Amino acid sequence: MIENSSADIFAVVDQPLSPDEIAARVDDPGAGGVVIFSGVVRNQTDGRPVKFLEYEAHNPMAEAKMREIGVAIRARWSGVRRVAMLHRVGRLEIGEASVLIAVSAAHRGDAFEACRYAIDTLKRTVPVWKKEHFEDGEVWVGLQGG
Amino acid sequence: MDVPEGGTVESAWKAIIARHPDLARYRPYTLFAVGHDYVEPDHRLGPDDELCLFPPVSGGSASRRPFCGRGER
Repeated sequence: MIENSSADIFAVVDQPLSPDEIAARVDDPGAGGVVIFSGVVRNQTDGRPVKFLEYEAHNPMAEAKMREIGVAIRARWSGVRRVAMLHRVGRLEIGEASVLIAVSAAHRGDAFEACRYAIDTLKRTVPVWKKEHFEDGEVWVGLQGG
Repeated sequence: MDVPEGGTVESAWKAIIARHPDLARYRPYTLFAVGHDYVEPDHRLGPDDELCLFPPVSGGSASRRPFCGRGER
């Protein structure tokens, strides 16, 4: 029963993300709960003040990997009605959302679990990269040896 | 860049390193992808395959450190 899967949305965007808009994208009359995860830019990394972040993505592969996550969610949580995943690229200031994930489901348990699965999997598989800009330099996250 | 037909990702990496020796030190952190899928070094490349070399991914923003192939987060 995946009649709404074609309405799912998976995109890399270069504009500010809106929780209201992504909530609307998973609107479904069969939904009893909507969970939204918003990943935001933090002001420090291990105590070192961050000025801003810069994100880059391999857009087509990133969207394909997010779509795979959506397919996996529908295979695992039958109560899920709609899934939307957006990742922003470009320069982001402290407090701005870099990623938004919304899942609507018949019952809240599926929505919470599927949303958690989506962000955890995104961080491992979706080709997006983050550069942290500090007062005294900048670094692409992940090239420090783990 | 030309690599032998039927060559593997590993052979392509060696060809790249021959031309750009500075990249050799990033091998432990490099992910390989063909099309929209990650591949292993022994993956055989086809005539029209586009091979991508990625650093560890670090999307999202809520974890302290990204995934680097050791399962930490």
